[in-house]
Amino acid sequence: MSVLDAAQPAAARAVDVWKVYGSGETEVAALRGITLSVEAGKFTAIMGPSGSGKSTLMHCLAGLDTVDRGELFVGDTTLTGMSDKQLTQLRRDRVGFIFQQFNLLPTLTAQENILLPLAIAGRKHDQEWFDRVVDTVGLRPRLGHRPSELSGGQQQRVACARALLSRPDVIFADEPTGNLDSRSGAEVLSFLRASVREFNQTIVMVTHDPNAASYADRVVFLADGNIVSEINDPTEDVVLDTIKQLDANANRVMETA
Amino acid sequence: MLRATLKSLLGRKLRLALSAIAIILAVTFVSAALVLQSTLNRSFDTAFNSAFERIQLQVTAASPLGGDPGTAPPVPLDDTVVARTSGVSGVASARGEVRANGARIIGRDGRVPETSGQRIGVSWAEGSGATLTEGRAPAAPGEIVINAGLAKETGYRVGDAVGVLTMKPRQQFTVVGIATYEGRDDLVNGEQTISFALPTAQELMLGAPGAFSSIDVRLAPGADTGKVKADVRNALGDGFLVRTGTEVAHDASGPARGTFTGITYVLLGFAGVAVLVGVFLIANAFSIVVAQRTKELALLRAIGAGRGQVRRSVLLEALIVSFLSWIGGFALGLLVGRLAASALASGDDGVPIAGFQLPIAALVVSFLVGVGVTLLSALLPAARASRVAPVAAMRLTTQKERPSKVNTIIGAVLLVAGAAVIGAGLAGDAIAAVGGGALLTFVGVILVTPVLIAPVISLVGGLTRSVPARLGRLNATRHPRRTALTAVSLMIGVMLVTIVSTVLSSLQSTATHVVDANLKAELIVNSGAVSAGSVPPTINPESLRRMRELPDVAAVAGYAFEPAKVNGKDDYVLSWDDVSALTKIASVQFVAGGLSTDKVLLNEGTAKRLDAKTGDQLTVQLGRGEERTLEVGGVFGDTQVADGIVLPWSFASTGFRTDQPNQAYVKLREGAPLTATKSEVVALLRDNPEVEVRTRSELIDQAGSAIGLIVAVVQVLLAVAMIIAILGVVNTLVLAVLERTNEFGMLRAIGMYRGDVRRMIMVESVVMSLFGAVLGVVLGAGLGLALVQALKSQGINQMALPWQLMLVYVVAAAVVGVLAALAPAGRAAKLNILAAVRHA
Repeated sequence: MSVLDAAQPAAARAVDVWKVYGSGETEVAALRGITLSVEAGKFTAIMGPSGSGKSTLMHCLAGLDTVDRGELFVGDTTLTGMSDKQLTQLRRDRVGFIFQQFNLLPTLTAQENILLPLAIAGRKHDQEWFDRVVDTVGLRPRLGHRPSELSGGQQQRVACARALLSRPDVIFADEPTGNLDSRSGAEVLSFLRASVREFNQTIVMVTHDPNAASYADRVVFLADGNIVSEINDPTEDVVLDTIKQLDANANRVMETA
Repeated sequence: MLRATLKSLLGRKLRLALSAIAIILAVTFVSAALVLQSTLNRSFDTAFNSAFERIQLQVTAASPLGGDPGTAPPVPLDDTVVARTSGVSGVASARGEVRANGARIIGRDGRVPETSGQRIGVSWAEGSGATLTEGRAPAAPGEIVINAGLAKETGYRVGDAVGVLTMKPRQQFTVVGIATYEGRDDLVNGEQTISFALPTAQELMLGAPGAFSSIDVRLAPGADTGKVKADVRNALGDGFLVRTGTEVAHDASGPARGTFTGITYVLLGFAGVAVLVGVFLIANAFSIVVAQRTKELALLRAIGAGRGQVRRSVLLEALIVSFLSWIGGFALGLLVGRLAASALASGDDGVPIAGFQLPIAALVVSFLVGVGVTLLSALLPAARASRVAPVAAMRLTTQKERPSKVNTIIGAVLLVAGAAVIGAGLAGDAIAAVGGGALLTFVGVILVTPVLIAPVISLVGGLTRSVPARLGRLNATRHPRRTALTAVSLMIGVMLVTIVSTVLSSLQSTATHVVDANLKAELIVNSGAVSAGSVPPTINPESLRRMRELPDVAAVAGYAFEPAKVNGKDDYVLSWDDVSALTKIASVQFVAGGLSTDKVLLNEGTAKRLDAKTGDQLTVQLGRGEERTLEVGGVFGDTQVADGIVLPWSFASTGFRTDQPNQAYVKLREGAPLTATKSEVVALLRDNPEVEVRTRSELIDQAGSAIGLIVAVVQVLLAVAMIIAILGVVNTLVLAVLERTNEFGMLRAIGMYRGDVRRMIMVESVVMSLFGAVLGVVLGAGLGLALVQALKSQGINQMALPWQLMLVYVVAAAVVGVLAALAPAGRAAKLNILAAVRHA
């Protein structure tokens, strides 16, 4: 099934993945041989300073970007070498997205936005599942409203419901709380946490925020295109300590160099 | 501020190029039309001046009808006028001569050769400017000299026997010589000149033995032209024209020029449409620029720029773009105008094109169109730009745009007022009011369009079931004002052609109706369209006499039609060679009086117009002869076939150009075979090459094909309007794609195929275009029908909508939508998903 043996089934995997931008003098390697397995039914956070490659890694895993070397899997499907059409189909059927800027269509109501991925795929939705998701995010009274009539937190909850509705193998969330105040952010994070616990949903989240990361089951730290550390069942303090430590290491490396 | 303007100008090259193209097109059309006109005018002036430069002074009799001396038929002068002229001091010699339009040679193919010039018959005289290159001068009645150009065109040589049509029916002549004019093959390019011996010319070209059409005056050495001209005029008294060579040349060039005036008008019409559509396109382009620059403008405001500075910045941008476009468009217009002039005037009978001269009129008008119209169109967007609040720089999303309530109310009021004015105009028969009402309606529609967009577009909701199509439809309603401007620029073209098409199809329907209902004759003898500057065709009365003897023919009526003065006013009159046949060939029914061979007959409409009834007296002045007073002998119900002022043939045949009819109507006996009788009639008309025999259905087709030509021109007009409108749609879509980059990224990320993105934008574009086209078709049909109703007194009494054409226009608009979406849709489909999602 794969080159790596894993006791826990992996929802998504990267195996020795390299990604290089530019060429010659201006060449920058964003990913330098990263190997990562995202466990199914778990909430994984990816952290790291700007330019560490965390977003690139997530985009590659989600089939939005391609890698120069290495292999990517969603479930046991190889992404490497897929055509644009195949990647689109993969995203539509097996991957969900939550963006920092909500990215809802202003012309559609909340309900229509939630149903959009299924509509694009031409699939029927499961009414029971829809009701359950909508009630979990607490959007029931807001379904007929357009995004411009919703608060930022409500909009992001619509985006979460949209991602959940197709029951994807994995949901990728890119700084989902980056544009929200702390209260709305906490609501969205609790909801993500709850969907992992109750619906057994796999979520990968990229974030800067140690507090956001503390909601995850596992935090992976990236720096300069490599995984430099990881913690399981993190708390905010542990995450902060790890970041401080990594910064100190990085400074030491720079001083000795 | 200037630097900031220039920088932002260069930053949006594409959008700029699109609005520039609209300005360039309008300027090109305007300057090309004016350059074409001035070039042709100068070319004709030059050609006619050199043709007539030999003339020092020329005396002609003024036409009793007045009018253009270049087209009016000549009025015969007699010997006494020549004698009186030669008696004036300063006149060295005065020689009577004949020169008249209407000498038509019949070529080897049995047809009268085509020309853009006139077909002139002259009296041969030594020293009149003609030089024999072959043969000798005409001496006997049966001899002619033809000009070298005509000889080349027909292939006739000295010694050939040829047929010539004049005021008299076809006669046989022998070509005895070939003439050139100071080295030119034609006197003036395109003219066919046939020289007869003087007495022959007098009889055939003037119908008056011993008469002249003009007197060629040579001045004594040292005499002053102006003084002699005045003296001759005084000596002759009223009723005569004394003109210098330059004046004669100018008058003579009129008809030749007229052939090309129409083309200039068509070009100017295109220019008008280009400007009209361009206004909306430019206004839209600049509002889009402003919308895009909102952040930038707000930032400028936040760091201290005043409202005026922001407004000027937008206007400055408009000025720079329009000035550059004007220069480009003007250069292109010069080129197109010159090329068109050469293309039109070249050929065997064309005139040489005059040299280049800077066309001041074209320069000024095109500047006003290019720069002036652009600045005007940019005023509104500039005002909106100055209202951008500094805090807009900090806002993340743009405000939702709603249709302006004030505009909608004003628009609705104008719409209702316009409809009311049209209604009142129709009731009161005031065509100006109908036009004014149409204008109000038009402006009203433009103002209410933004509110119409959402409801009208949701009507096509059922057709857009797929997700991309549905999203595209919704997107089209997002910016109602922007969509409205875009749709209106398409609407204008469609509306204009629908108006014209509606009038034309009503015209055709009327023609069909009239022929079906009121024409009883089965065969019609007439020619195709008569070109400007030519004389009407003639039918030999002898041919008609023999036609009447055919066993299958029940009645024949020959018909002639000419300008005249009736009761002192310019009018048209007609006459039938056998008025007793009138009731047989048309459904003529008298409501008062009856047929008469020595009285005037009127249809009811004309009687009402002249305020005349049976027994009244009318004074009639024809092109030749004395004024006469005639009694109205009968009034008949309107037929639209034989309507008008019908004069007795005995009078018309002495005062018309010729005593031969121009057209004839043939009524067959009951049960006569149509095809066989037509062949017999055709055979009898062998010596009348200018006319053809048509059945009733062929007559309707003939009317249709004349209309078809206009329709074709109108389609080109639509094409021009659509090309410009495409630019507007592209402009709007490009902006939409830029604004929604983020959304496209999201849609692609959650699983939308590239093709779906493309389809989404296509649908948006097609929906916008269809909206404009449907609006145009509906408005055009409404205004067209109003116009037809207004033209009822002009004889258009059948209303007909051009359904097929209307459908074609709507389909064409859909095609425009698809074409316009190609590039923006491709761009959206190819967006990098990552960059698009992050795009703020």
